[in-house]
Amino acid sequence: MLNKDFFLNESDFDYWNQSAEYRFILRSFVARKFEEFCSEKKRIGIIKGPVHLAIGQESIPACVSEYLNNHDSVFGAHRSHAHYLSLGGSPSELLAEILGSPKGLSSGRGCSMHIFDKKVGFMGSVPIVSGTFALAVGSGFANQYKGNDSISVAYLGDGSFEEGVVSEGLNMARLLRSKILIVVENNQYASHMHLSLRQPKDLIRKLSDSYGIKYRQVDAYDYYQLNQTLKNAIYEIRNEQIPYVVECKTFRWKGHVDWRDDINVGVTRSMEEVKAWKEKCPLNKMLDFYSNEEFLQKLDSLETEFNKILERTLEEAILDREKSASYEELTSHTLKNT
Amino acid sequence: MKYQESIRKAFYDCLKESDDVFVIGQGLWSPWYVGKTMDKLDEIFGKNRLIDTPISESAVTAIGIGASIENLYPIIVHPRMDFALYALDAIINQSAKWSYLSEGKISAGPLFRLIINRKGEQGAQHSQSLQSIFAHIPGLEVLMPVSSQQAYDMFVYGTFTKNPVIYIDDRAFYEEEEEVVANQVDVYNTKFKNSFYAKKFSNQGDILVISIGDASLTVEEVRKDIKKTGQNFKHFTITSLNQIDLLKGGIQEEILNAKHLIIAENSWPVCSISSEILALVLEKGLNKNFESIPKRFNLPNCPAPSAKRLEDIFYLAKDDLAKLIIEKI
Ligand SMILES: Cc1ncc(C[n+]2csc(CCOP(=O)(O)OP(=O)(O)O)c2C)c(N)n1
Ligand SMILES: [Mg+2]
Repeated sequence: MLNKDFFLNESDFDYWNQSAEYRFILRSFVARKFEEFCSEKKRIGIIKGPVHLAIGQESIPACVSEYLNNHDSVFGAHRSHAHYLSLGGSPSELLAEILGSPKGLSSGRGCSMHIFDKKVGFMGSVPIVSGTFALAVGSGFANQYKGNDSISVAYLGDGSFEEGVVSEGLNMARLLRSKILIVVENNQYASHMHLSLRQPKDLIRKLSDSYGIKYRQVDAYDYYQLNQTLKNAIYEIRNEQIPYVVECKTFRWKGHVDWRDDINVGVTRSMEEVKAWKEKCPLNKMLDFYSNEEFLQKLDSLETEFNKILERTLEEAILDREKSASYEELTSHTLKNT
Repeated sequence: MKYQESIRKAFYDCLKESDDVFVIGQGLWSPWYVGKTMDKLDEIFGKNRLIDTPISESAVTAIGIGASIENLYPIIVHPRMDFALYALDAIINQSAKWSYLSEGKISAGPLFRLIINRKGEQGAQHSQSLQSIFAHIPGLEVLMPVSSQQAYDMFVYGTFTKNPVIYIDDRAFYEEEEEVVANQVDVYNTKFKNSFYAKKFSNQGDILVISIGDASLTVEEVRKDIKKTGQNFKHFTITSLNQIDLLKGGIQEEILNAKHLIIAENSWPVCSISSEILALVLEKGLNKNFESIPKRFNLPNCPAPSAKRLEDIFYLAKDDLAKLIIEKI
């Protein structure tokens, strides 16, 4: 699903909706611009809480979401803005949430690290590493149990595979025939630590194999390979009622948390490495390829409209979040039924 | 010495004192998570003694416990108390039971360092203050230092005692300063000191405020404000949370002499340390001179929100506490 909020008119919408490639560009572009905006606002202190940016990793949700609908259930972790937006989520409600505004998705209860929006099937993201993984397995099991057409998606970082619950969950996913797509965003780092310091080579593939779960590895910077792999995987999950792991090799351009470009929390990757990845950027490659006049004009008006939405939301949120909160606003829904 | 420096000094002194001390946990080779409490320790003592780990809290914690069974002195670090919830089996089902079940012949008593880091819009899973969960369990010692001296002494004690010690440091204290006497590291002589039971801030006035953890900072701010008007109140902090000894902590007399009691803790009220203190006061009949009903000052019954405007009414507010105290005066 695409979010219609930032199109001036039906024809712009139809333009971006004309093919999978165009939708891919749209989703990636929107996520990129959104996070560049957040990055800047964090730098100058308007965003107060931590933000984990996925700039450089947008291609993955941009492709996954192409094959999902609003009845599917998606679960994530601390780095989930792009996952949410790519489902057609609302950039203004997300931004308001990140800014701690009462108009945010959860009225500021969770900010950047806790995103919930049932409307688009985003069932929840949390910062506890692997915290939602087995929930997603359970959700995929429920979809199989109910015999419906829906599937569940778990987004995981490479670091997640170090938590015991992921091993347990993989085993259970196969036993229960959970209809789950397990998307591993392998960006080589977990905060400051490189993969090689944390895991033996190919652990993610080997674990998946050991637990009898279908596995594919893809280069997430190769749009066609990524798209085809995810399309096939999701088709198989829906039709054969099986769990499936897709490990996506990717890279985040920012540090672990907040706006800094590279080396925060002691990450010691080289600027050359970052540069090499940036040069391969699948979004930029697409933008270059489609650079005809109409495209550029459409892109330009999209960006203008999108920026307006973000600026307007920001302005409002800054005022709204100054209003003092009531006790009821703070405590309601601690239990669902009372 | 700043609170955070005294923790680092305690690390340093323990590592220096015995090669059998090692540290294991996340972020040790890039200790940005933990203020200045672990600066350069990995460079000084080596990466074989400061072991940075994969994201595997459950196994990491249990491994520390296993090494303790073999008489090493492990210090297990969880940069957020919330992350240690993956390790509850290791701590509660295992570590807390070994001495009892082996009739004292085998102990599994590492130091568990759990850090609280609240506010800053970090929200429901990065801001919890879960001392009560651990305090509930026989076989653990739960310590929550509120001064630089305590931070140092309790750390050294917790490292070398054969009891499992839950050492909870709250980043709210890191900049607080106090002179520290730090020459008592002795592997073989670890005694639970009387100074671990409580910290006295003031014993003036008819009102007694007992705090737990970082609530002590809020209470002290209130005391400074109120003092300007010439008024004062007693303030003690309970720092050994599941071995509460009012007598040894020097609070029993103060409670008996007080006319009003307020207990402040930045955690939820149900089954809290505050409830425990209140129960003890009643059980021991220490409320004979009370002229008002004792009052607990805790968090609202909901998870920690992220947005600052919600945080502002979630955490204990200085003004509310001041009002409460002034009403009693
Ligand atoms: C249980 C738990 N342990 C530790 C952390 C601290 N932490 C937050 S994100 C992170 C790294 C996660 O790495 P990865 O899964 O590869 O995701 P990435 O950040 O690369 O997207 C760590 C260690 C946490 N949030 N939760
Ligand atoms: Mg990673």
